[in-house]
Amino acid sequence: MLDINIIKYAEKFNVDHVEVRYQYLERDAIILRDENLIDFVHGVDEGVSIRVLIDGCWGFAYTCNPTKDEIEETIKRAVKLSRVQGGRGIVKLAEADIAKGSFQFDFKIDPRNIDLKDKLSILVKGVENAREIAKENLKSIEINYFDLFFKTQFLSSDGGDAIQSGVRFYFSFGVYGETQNGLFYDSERYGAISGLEKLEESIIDVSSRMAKRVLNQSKAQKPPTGPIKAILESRAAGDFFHEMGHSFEADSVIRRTSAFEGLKNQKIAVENLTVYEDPTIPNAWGSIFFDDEGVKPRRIILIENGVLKGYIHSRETAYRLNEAPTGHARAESFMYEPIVRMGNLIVKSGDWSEEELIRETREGIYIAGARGGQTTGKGPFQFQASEAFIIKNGELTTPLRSIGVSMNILEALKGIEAICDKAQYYITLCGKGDQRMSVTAYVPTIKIDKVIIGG
Amino acid sequence: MFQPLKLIKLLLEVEKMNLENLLKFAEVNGANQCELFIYQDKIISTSISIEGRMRISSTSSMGVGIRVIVNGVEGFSYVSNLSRDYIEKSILNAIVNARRAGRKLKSLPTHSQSPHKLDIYHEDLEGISEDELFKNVKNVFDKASKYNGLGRIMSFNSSIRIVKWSLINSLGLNFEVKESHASNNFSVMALKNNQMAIYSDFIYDRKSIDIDITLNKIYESLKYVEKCIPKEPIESGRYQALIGPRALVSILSYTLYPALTSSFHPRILKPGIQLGSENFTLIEDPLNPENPGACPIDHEGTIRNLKSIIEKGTLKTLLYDHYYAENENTISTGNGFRTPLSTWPRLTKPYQATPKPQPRSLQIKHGTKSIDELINQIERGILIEEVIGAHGADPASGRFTVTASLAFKIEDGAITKPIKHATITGNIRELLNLIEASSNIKQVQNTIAPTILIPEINVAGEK
Repeated sequence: MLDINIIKYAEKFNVDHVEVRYQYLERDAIILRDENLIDFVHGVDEGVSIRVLIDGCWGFAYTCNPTKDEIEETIKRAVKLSRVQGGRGIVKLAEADIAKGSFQFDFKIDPRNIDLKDKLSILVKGVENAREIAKENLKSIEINYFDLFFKTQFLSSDGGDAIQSGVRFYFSFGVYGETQNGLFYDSERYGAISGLEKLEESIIDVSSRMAKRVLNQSKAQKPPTGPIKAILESRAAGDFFHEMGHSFEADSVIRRTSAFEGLKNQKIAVENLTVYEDPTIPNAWGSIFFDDEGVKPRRIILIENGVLKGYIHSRETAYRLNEAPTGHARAESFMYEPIVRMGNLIVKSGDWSEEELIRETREGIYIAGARGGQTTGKGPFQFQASEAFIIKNGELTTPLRSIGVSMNILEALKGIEAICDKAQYYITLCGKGDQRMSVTAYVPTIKIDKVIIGG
Repeated sequence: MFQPLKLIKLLLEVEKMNLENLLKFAEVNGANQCELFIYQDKIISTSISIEGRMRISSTSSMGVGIRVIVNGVEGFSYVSNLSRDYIEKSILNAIVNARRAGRKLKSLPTHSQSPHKLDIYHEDLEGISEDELFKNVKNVFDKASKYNGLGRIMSFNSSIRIVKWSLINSLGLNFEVKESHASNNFSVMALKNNQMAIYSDFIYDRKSIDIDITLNKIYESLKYVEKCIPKEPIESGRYQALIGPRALVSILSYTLYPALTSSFHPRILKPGIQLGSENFTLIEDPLNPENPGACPIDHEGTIRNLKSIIEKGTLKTLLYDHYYAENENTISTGNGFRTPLSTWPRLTKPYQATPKPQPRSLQIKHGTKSIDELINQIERGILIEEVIGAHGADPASGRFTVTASLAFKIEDGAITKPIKHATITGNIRELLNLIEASSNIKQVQNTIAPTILIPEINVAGEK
């Protein structure tokens, strides 16, 4: 871990602000195809990033070799890169509640203490479970798994001095199933800030769901095409709200690509829709104790009863929009600068049960599972739904092939007809710019008046 | 100044190691064979975006990927700390990993022939400083910002990447490769009545960054994006379609390309099958320096040559690395490249991975007619330039659904209006059954591609 004196060393270069992030990452990554190990990597990586602000210009540099000499050289490089820009930059930082202290996510079983063969045997249980359910319809399974021990130390010239650590694991469970029309592929992801005490339960849960999908797909029909009324099961609704959530990111508001630009305090959604962002939920996949600017995150109301109430911020965007920082400046690792990212997006539950909602729908489509979402902000966004059924006279009937679902954000928010009482986590590693980030959306099943289906 | 890079070999010599001794160290400690992939890069990158934010970074990384064979099982480890202790510990880790669990592999690649000489490294690029790069970027951005029209430059990024790597193994294989890459990337936008069009493009070179060429391309794009603001919804139905290079490569990357690799399982493609019309030919040209993926050898030392992958619609070969070739008793096609396993935070450097079969430096054969001539042939159709959502496609069935983020109606042989919200569904076979390809080509990611004309595709619109 680093000594606070490193900040004093940086201050010798007349910087207005300096941040130092040290990170230690130890991981196992596995690819399992059916019962066979296809690839395995054990890696230990550590590094330090330096970000300095001089006369409104950032300078950023990192090193993978965190010795005292190397860190001092990296500080000099960051200072040089800031000065290259000639000063008079536009960056200013809003005042923020900066973290101090040591924080640890709870876990029971440290993946570093579990032998590779034991991890493989748990993953193989998922393979066997899926085969048991889907039988000969299931042609092949591919699991991409990793676990990670992480420790991040943050130091800054405005008093930041904090450490956060924990373990997490993540897997995608991919299946190749066979139907009368040939092979198809589907996958689902699971991730948790947790020790391996949750691995077996989650792999059995996901493998069961995937195997049932394979069975349904073997009977699936070609979906209809065009606009249609839809019920989005909680994970599909999660993907919808996650893509929409990018428009709450203040950098996209400033850049004018956000669908919510200029709409603060205006009615943008139906009356019964309330949306929060909360990176403080204990051990949720998108949770943090402090962001990569050292800011303690807080729960933010984004939409309240249909009215746009706020955006999520870094210190820089908060200053630009004259709002308070929210603790949403996140970086994939020490190799990247922090940018504005979601953590855990939450939609307040309504009072419909999913069964009631289906019963009350005469005609429409039920969409479950999601992968491959993407948005253009002001334009349409789309995701791939893994499973869908025709709803006819209040019942789920014909299963449909995997479908692409697309919507326009503002139209969709005004078209929500009902919100259910139970939510589940949609878990993803979301790409923005050149970085990926651990984020979730905790969203109940919703009914929407129109989505466009590509069948 | 951007200091010239030191080869890791020099660093190792300072540590009083030489590579042959490291191979011997592995063998003494239980490895039957050992391979060292030694990698170093230096990247300077600078960007400016519409909100006035400037970003400049200068990074370098180095490391060694170690692959061993112990009693017919492969083991792997990597290390980024190049002190003697760390490298030797990493070799021992690779041996332990092979003993714990690993893929069966009889032998590492052996030396067969000399690689082609290829002009993929230009020392001049190493001489460009951060200051110079930043001044160029600011100059271009400031000029483009003065454009007098609806179009606006959103962001401009310029980067230089110098890569050096060597490969040595117990069977006498010993290569060294130097690569230089320069690229200018930009995005432009136009906004009217809350409808937005965004267009991105890039210029790639290995020798230098030409400011004037870049600026001209940005001006062209600013004019172009003004014409792209979505206006009209489209009726759902089947349309004759022109698929532009960016949309085409985006879809191929998540459907055809994974299925072409020998690691794709279950195997759905076999050489000899007809995948498309006579007008579809896909080659891999690793010897064309204009392609960013050009390289005379792959990441395990197999010599690369020009080859047909799909010729006149017929699949000629799958893409092999050494492992899958050994398994199927065939020879590697020189497609063993090191892309790290998918984890988070991501591993990003080649030395952090074993080789896997991957397509690189592809080229789809172009036709003889210009895009305008192809448009003239269409009575009622759609031109799809850019799509989102292709990463949700199904490589097993070849089915995809994407949303067009840049598309135009074609009526009576002419482009009419930009389309608001069209969702495109199809199967990769529909694209490969093209009627013809344009003479115009464009480098997109790892592929040089034309615009293609296809008989029909399913479009879902708001009506």
